[in-house]
Amino acid sequence: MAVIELHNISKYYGKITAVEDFSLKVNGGEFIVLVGPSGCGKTTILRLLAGLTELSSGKIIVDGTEISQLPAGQRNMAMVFQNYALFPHMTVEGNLSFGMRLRRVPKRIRDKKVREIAQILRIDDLLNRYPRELSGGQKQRVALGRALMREPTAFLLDEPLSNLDPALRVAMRAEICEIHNRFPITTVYVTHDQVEAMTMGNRIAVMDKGKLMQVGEPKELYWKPENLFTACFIGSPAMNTLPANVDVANDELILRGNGYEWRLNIKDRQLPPSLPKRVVIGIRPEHLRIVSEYEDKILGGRVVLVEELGREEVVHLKHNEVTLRVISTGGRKPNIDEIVFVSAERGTVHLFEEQTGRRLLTETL
Amino acid sequence: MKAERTWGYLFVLPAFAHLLIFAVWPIFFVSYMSLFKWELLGGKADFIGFTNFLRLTQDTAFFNALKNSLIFTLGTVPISLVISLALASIMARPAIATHLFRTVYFLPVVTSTVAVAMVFSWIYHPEFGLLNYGLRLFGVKGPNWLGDPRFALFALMLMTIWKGLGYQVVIYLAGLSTIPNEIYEAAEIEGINPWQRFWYITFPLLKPTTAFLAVTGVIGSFQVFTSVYTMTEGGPLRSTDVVVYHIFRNAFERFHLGYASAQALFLFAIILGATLLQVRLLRKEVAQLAC
Repeated sequence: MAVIELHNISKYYGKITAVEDFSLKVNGGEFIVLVGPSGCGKTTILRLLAGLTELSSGKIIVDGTEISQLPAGQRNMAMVFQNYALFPHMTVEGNLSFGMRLRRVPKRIRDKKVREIAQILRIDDLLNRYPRELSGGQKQRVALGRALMREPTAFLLDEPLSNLDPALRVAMRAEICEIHNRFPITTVYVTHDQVEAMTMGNRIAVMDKGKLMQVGEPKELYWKPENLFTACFIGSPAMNTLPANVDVANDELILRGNGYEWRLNIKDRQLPPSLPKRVVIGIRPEHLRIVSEYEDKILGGRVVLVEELGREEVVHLKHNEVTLRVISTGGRKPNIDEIVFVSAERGTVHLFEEQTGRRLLTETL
Repeated sequence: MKAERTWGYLFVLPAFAHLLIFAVWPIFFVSYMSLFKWELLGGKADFIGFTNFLRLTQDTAFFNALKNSLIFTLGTVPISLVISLALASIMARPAIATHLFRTVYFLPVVTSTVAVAMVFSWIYHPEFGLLNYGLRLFGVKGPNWLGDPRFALFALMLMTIWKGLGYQVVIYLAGLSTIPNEIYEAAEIEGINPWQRFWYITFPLLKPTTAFLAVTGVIGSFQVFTSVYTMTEGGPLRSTDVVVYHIFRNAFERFHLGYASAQALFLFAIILGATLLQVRLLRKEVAQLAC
């Protein structure tokens, strides 16, 4: 189980920066997910790891050995491409055994391995078919199988599920996790889908504009986002953000925005030595609750949209210039244009510095 | 709706008429003529049944022409495919002056065969030609390329390959551009070397392109005429007398229209047969790639 270390790697295409000063240590056997919006450099990192793209600067070290200059073929990495990249002129069997044929592995060993992998992925009845005769899900399995054919140092998966329909995607998600449990090979998985990232990764690395924003376990990213970007990227629907001015009075932090005022109890809390004047309050839709006018509300707003999801509703409120999303479970479904009031669960409010997006504190219980 | 349909037919009409008059009707008329002793001068045609075809089987001059065409085809098509694929592979990767090279190789294609033939007649000239001048620099006395029956057909083949190369390179470049880069990358990760890369990936994926070029190339070289007509007139000693040139002389120099028609039909059958054979041989592999 290989340990992969990326030390300050950067990649520039002319004047364009794809990845800048990116460092990350992937533990042996870990399933790490690189997640971020398109163009954030996550696929570039994967290609740098595979050796398909040359580094501009930095080092890649696998198990203590630097591999930065090694050609792709000698890195012993297995990669699954977004559009599968199966060889169209070879059968499934031919695709699976391709690498072994290149390495002149005897036919007997090859056939045995093909059968073994095909059984695991339940493609053993497709071995004589050509890629064009396969469905998207089957192609995906073959691509995974081709990667599994050898014992690679690492598994690199580049948005492998993005071309599948939603139901199949969920099924394949579970299947990839099962395969990883069975073959605990160090895996780097790239996706833009934060749900995929949260459900699959041991750890998640959130990226934006070529930079690493935060690495951590899914829970950590959800409850303690280090910056506004991570806070808004992880979680669906995205976190609500409200700009506010800060005042400290006695044991209370007073947050004032346009038409709302929150008081946070900061007794016994460690505050950053200097608080900025302007902050952004972050609170997740699932931590807001619709309450009656007479309860302990934080603000009221006009309902502009209600998205019915069956088990719950996403209620969109407008209050002056801010829009809030509230997940409401049970209770009466509010009407459009109705004025409703919301309160926040304790311990769920995050504060970020407006200018830098840096986290100031999370109000915990 | 009806008016629209009428307009549709009207738009198709010119092309349809052209096809009918210059392709379909001649085929039928040639079939008809081949059954007659039809002399261009004298104006009378006698029905003689299949006599022209029987005569064909005894005609050594015609078989000589067939042999020349066959040598010409086997000598030009495979070699030009190999060279053009090699050139296209080199030109496919971005390099300095790629566009310049593409243009240079395509220029002969758009040049008229007659003009090219004039230039090559000079290049091949035994005393003042560029080719023999070059050979003299190495101390070799070049032959009389177009005047020697051992070399004349070879010289024509060389020129034909040179002239057609640009077209085949362009088609191969188009074929190469359809191979997705990820397929190469997937192979690269498996540790493929450049030689394997060509034989396991590029060449098999270019089979439809090769099939197309092989079929059209064979058809084209069985029909070669202009270069023979302008450079050697079938000589010396009938060594460059190819089928179409032979038919042309029978029809428009000796005025044996009926007999020439029978020969033309025979050539038609050969080309049709060769094409069907190639299509059949290549179809299975081409079909696999249609995804």
